[in-house]
Amino acid sequence: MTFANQQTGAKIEALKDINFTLKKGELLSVLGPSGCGKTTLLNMVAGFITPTSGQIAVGDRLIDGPGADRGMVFQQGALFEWLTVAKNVDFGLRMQGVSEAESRDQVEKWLATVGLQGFADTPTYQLSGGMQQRVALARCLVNDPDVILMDEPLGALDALTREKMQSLVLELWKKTGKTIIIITHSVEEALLLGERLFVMAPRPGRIHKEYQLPFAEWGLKRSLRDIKLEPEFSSVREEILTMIWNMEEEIMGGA
Amino acid sequence: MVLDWLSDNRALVAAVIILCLVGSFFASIFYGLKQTRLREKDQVFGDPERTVGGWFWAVCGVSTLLLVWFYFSWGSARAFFPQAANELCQVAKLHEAVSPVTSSLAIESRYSKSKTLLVRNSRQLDELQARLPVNVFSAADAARVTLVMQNTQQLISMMATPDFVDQKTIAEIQAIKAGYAAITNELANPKSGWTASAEALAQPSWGITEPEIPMLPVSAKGAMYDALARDAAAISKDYLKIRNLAPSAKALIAETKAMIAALKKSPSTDDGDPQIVKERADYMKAVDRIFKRIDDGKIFPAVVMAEMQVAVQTMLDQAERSKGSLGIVKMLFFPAGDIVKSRTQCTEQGPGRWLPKPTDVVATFFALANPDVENGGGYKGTTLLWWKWLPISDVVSFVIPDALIDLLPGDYGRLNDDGRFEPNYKDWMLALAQGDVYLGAIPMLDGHIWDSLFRVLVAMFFGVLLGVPLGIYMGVSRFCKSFFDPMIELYRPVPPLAWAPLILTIFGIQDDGKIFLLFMVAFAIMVISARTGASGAQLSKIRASHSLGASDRQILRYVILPNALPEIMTGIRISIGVCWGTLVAAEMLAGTTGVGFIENVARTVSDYELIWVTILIMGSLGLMFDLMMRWVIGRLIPWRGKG
Repeated sequence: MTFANQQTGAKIEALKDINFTLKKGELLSVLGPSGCGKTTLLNMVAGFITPTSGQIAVGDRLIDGPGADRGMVFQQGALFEWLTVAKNVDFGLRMQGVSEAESRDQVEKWLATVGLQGFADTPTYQLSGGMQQRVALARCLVNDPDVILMDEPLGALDALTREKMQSLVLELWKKTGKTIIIITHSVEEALLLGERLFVMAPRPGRIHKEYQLPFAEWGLKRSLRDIKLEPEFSSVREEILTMIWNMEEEIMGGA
Repeated sequence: MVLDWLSDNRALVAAVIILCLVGSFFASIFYGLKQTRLREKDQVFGDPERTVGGWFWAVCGVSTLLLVWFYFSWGSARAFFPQAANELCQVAKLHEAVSPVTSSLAIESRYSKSKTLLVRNSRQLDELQARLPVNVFSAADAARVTLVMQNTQQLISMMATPDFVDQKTIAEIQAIKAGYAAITNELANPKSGWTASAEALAQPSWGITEPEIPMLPVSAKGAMYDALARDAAAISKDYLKIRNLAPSAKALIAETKAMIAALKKSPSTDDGDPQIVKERADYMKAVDRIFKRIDDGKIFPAVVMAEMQVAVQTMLDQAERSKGSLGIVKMLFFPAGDIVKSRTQCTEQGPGRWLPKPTDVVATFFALANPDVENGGGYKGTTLLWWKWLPISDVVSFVIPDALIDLLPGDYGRLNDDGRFEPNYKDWMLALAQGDVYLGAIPMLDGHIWDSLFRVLVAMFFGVLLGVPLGIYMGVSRFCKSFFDPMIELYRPVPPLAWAPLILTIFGIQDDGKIFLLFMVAFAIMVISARTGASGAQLSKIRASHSLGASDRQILRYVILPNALPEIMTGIRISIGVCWGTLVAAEMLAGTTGVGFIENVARTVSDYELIWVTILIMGSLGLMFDLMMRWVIGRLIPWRGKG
């Protein structure tokens, strides 16, 4: 697959020569310096942007616009603040005409899974950032999408909440067996939440290096803090950090 | 009954209210300070929490407002000194009685009338003389005209010379002086026995009937001023008869008069050139006008008048002093104005006139609010706010247009062969649509307030109904935005009142025109606010709903609309306010009902009480609307500012 994104006016190649295939149930994290086209890549997969050239397919179906088969989780939750938690979660089902009675069990199940039992009737504006993100996850999962796209889902959370949420994401991944793509700017997070990891380079956006990592698998059994202390983890982290640093310097020098 | 009693005892009612207000004013300050001391440490300066609550300060503010209103409307004067206005009226009578004299002397003005007459006429004579048209008059006539002017000037000089004033005139002036001295004396040492007449005591008290202040004196002091005012009026009459014309002046006047008459009559040239004839006539008219101003003999030497002027001044000063406690009351309780007598009535001049007393406003309001239109209630044959039986057929005929019946299948009935008309079902339907079928009646609000309210509500209803969808579509569709934007932006900035004449001409002065005008206002505001709300939806929310499988229509209904709700509610709040403003103006332009109509009529007859009643009605209705909207907004969009 190859994409180039055409901005209005000047033609900027946001992404170039990107080719990859994900297996079902694979967990991919995408890492890169800011402006390397991570979010553009995700928006194309979600169908919000159409690539100028190239194709994206889920299974054997080509993507031509957003759809319920690709759930998306945004950095700031993007919840509907005029609805309660339950109404947010069953939004997708309601839109597809599922009756409230039918969706109620689903909603309860997913709220329990993300750790929000008893919050069904709480207005979302009363929730903390971490809880809002949990609602966003539940809202996405209740729709049973084939692929889950996460655009820096934990970026706005504090360190403690973030760690908890990382475990939750791994847990959900295992439980549901969904294919997940996570965009992140945190190297640690990318390592922990990526079976596969793409390090992207900017101008034009492209995949610079690809890793296959064991940490996500480990994370299902061990505490994430332990994993971070492993020498293997540290060495990969340092390698990637250096790589990104070099990229940044290249940009600065070239500018 | 109770209302009548309250209305007749306004002064007493006001006194009680004022005392209560003073009490609540101080009590609220006391309580407020105590509360402030208790809370002071809780919040830092600038914390919005510091403004929460504080009803006691609202009580304090309202009390202050009402007290200021009572004070400046002279309501407190009437409450505690109900006779003061009547007494001031008697004093005003004295002032009115001497006014012919004071206006001719250097009292309350810089120069005496003699001085003004002398200077102005001498100057005009000089000017006239300088532009004597030589070609119009023959040499002889020109000499005579010059002589006339010289005589006039001489007359002025003679009158202004003290030696020239004859003894008779001096004696007359002395008599006037003595008359004033007598009044001064009476004021300084009033004889006892001044009393109010029974007729005077039977007068309605201050502020109850249309000529606001009772004319006849109701107190001993007033009776004295009243009697002395009559004396002063007689003296003024004598004064106006005095002429400063000595025998020699009379001779000069007679001679000059004859010369003017001759000059006016005989034109020197017989060719009758109309231009010359006219110029000559104009010039002679000007000469004659000045002469006639002088031959009255109203110019007096300053020395001759000096003593009299002192006497008048002394009397006026004494009149002021003799007011005694009344003077203090006047100073303290009648701020920024006075009671003035003119012709047949005493009136309040100043805030007492244009700022009606609160109790009067309430009384006027209750008179208006009385639903018994036949017996003086309501206004111009319509109640203020009441109810009536509204035939349902009227509603039906309003809702169903006649043309709709035309679309029904079949034909209307025809005359049958017997020459009779048998209506078929379509005729019945038409009768229904035209409101000719009696369907019973429902109770419905009625009156001026309801009429105004109805216009605003109907206009708002249609404004929201049409404006919100259009605004939302303009927020999401390029076609809608670009197609409608020029139209709306072109008409929106035009003030509604500029549209009014046009709209009222097209739709007529009934409700339709006003409603349409208000609709235009509400529509534009609703479109703008709905559009802002719709285009302000966060992109990530829209994308999230796409990803959740919502269709475009569902996103519009379930995401964009609720997201725009805060803006829409703000729009409604603003447009209700603007609609009120426009409505009153529209009702002032045309119509026979509505709050604005009442104010318009009240304005033409200077009924200040009524004007204030309408202002207060509009203010309270606006306040009510806004409180309601705030409550609705709080209930409907609790997430506002928290998303």
